[in-house]
Amino acid sequence: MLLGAGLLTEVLARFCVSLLHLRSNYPVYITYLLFQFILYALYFRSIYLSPKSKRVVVWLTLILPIIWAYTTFRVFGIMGWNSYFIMIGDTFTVVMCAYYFYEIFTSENLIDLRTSREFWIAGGIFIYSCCELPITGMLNYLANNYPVTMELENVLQALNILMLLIFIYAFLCPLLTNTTKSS
Amino acid sequence: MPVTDKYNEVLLGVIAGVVILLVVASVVVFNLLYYQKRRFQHLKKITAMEKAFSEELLKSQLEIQEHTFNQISEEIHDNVGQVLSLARVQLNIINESNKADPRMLMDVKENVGKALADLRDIARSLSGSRIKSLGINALIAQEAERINKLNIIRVTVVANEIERSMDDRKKLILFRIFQECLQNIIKHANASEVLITTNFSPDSLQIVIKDNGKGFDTKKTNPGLGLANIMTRAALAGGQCAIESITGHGTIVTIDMPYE
Repeated sequence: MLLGAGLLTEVLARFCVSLLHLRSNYPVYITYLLFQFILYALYFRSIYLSPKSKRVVVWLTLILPIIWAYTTFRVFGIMGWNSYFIMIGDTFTVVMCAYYFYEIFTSENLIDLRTSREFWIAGGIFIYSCCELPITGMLNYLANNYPVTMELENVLQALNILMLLIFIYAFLCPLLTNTTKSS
Repeated sequence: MPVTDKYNEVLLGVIAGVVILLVVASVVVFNLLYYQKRRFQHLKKITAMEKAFSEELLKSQLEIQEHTFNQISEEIHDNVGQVLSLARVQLNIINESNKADPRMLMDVKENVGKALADLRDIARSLSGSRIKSLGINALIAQEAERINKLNIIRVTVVANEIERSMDDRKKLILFRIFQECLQNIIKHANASEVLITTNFSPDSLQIVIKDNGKGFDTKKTNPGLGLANIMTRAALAGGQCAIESITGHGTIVTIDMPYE
């Protein structure tokens, strides 16, 4: 779902400026980011073990659109880069990942992390969110003061590729282990 | 500073920051992997130890059973058999004589009574739940009484504290260790007296077995299979066993076993 939405976002972002005669493609990305953070939250809700943490995540999922709406329409405007929302969303995501790791750390049931899809997906999201935060969070400031946006976009692309590679590994690792065991 | 250098500085700064974060995040993820691997290894070790403990428990049960059977066999041959044979001879004498001697009849009655009492003891020792139902002090006292009956060595038991209950499996292993210690003394120590002391501390039970035998040099003498077995068993049950001995001055075996 996330991958499909990502692909749709990239296509829309590529053509929306020329087709819809918009000043920038920021609205597409900003809308996608809301969708992305909600999906991350729902994903962590599904893999958390304790019911209490699941409830907290539900509340968070309800609060995120409110923050998004406020910062998008009242602070930056629909055509601006909503760095506040990204910083809040990334921070929440990193905290959710850290809590998931804590649950694994303290759980009495041992999970083989090398073959755990959930762990590798959470790991990919964790690494990406940690590294993305300083770039996307400061993008407004950097874009206004230094012409380095293109280079930073390349860095973001590299991080995206890294996260997607980890996701691919996450989906393949149980199969790889089964093959190794059967051979 | 030229403008391009300033831009590069900012760019490099941001990239370096991202790389540092990448490294930190990766370290966190890989540390978790490493930690989980260690937990798996630890679990494997614990499972192996539990398996060894169960095997040792089963072995101890079988050994105690074998020991009891030997003991019963000896008891029947040496005591009950002898006493009943004597009673039979006495009855034959009474049968052959015209007049029954009341004193001899009393002797027959006493001998049959003794044989019955011995048989009751044997039946009691055959009970499978004996070790579970009796406290460690009672088990030690019974074993000491049995050995004293053999008239090889004199065993004295000093139980100086109020008894505390112990996990049945540990009690079984502890009793087997105790039996092995006494067997070693009978076989190898050449002792005439053995003093057994039990001490129930808040966390563990301490049993001290002291003999006045020939002793041995613990540094020089390689501990035999029996002593090594005693130590391994104690360790598997979570306890400790210390052996102190001086040539010519006897041996002291101290077993320390936690209750849980």
